[in-house]
Amino acid sequence: MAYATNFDSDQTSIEAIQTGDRFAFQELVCRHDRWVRGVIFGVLNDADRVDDVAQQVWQTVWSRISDLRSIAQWRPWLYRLARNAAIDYGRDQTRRKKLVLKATESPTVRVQSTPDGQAIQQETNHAVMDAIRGLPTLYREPFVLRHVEGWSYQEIGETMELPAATVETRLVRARKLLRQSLLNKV
Amino acid sequence: MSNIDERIEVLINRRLDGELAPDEGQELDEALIQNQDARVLLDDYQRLDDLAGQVLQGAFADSTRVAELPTTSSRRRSMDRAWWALPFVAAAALVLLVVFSDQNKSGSQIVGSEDSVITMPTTNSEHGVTLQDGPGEIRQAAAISDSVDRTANTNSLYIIGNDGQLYVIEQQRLRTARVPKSGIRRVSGDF
Repeated sequence: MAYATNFDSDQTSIEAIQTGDRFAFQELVCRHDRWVRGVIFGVLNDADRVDDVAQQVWQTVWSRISDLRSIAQWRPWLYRLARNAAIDYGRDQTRRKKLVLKATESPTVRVQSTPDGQAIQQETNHAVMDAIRGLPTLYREPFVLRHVEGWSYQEIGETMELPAATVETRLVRARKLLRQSLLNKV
Repeated sequence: MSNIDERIEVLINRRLDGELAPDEGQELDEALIQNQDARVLLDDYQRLDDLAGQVLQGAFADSTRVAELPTTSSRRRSMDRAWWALPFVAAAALVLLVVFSDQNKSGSQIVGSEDSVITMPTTNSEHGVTLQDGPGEIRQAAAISDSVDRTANTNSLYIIGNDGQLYVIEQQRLRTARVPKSGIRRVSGDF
């Protein structure tokens, strides 16, 4: 199944990047950074660490894009890079925590500091983000891709290399779990 | 415990995800009319989706700034790493040069103002090449086989000698190349 039109133009960008075109690379980052960060969050479950891993992922893309044999498959390739980077990062963090015994708690949602009028909204956002973080990774990943980019089951399936029906099942379960988790909270 | 059929819950999810087929839409609408729990579920999921989209898109809105990229992409660096192949490439080029220079017979003549050939060694008489025409002419040589293309180029220079005679110095080159039966090769302007 072919990707939507904007993904065809991405293939041209990929070819340009393979010849060392930095502008094409920057464009690609702008277009796809958000869902890449969504994937990282889906795996890492820590919004505060997403920036570091995303930076690392894009640097890996730049240095390894010539390894990409099938340009048409660039999106699953990028998905795997992001996912593996997040997994590796998570492992490193776990190791460090064990060694240093360092526990840090920081805000998980980027909400602008606002006057008291929006305090409730801020609390709601925290609750929703916590509930999403509470999802099993299996369900969190497609849920994040769906809500960050609005992709169809087919697009998510192609990226994650899953059947569209599996994506749908996971989204149904994710919603059900979130609803249970947020009952009486929002 | 809600009184919602699993099928209806799937259809609600499809509607929210924009994946609902027209006939499924009709089925869902009928279920929503009859089942209040289904309506509540749709409202809850709709609100949940709105909030989740807002929170997640807000969290990942800032685009990554990719700084400190290497100056070259990996493909360029892989070319840089191919330095070790350079001697082999040079050796292969040298061999090709020697082989082709043996195949290309060339010679020159000094030709008189009309028909009188003065001197100059030539090595291509075996092909019956005699070129006495104007400057830069290209003519097919006489001996042509099915698989070999021989092409002669002529370059002429007109000079006036001390004796007041007009001399034409011709340089000619005969190129030999193997070509496929269907192929046509031309050599021109290679002086």
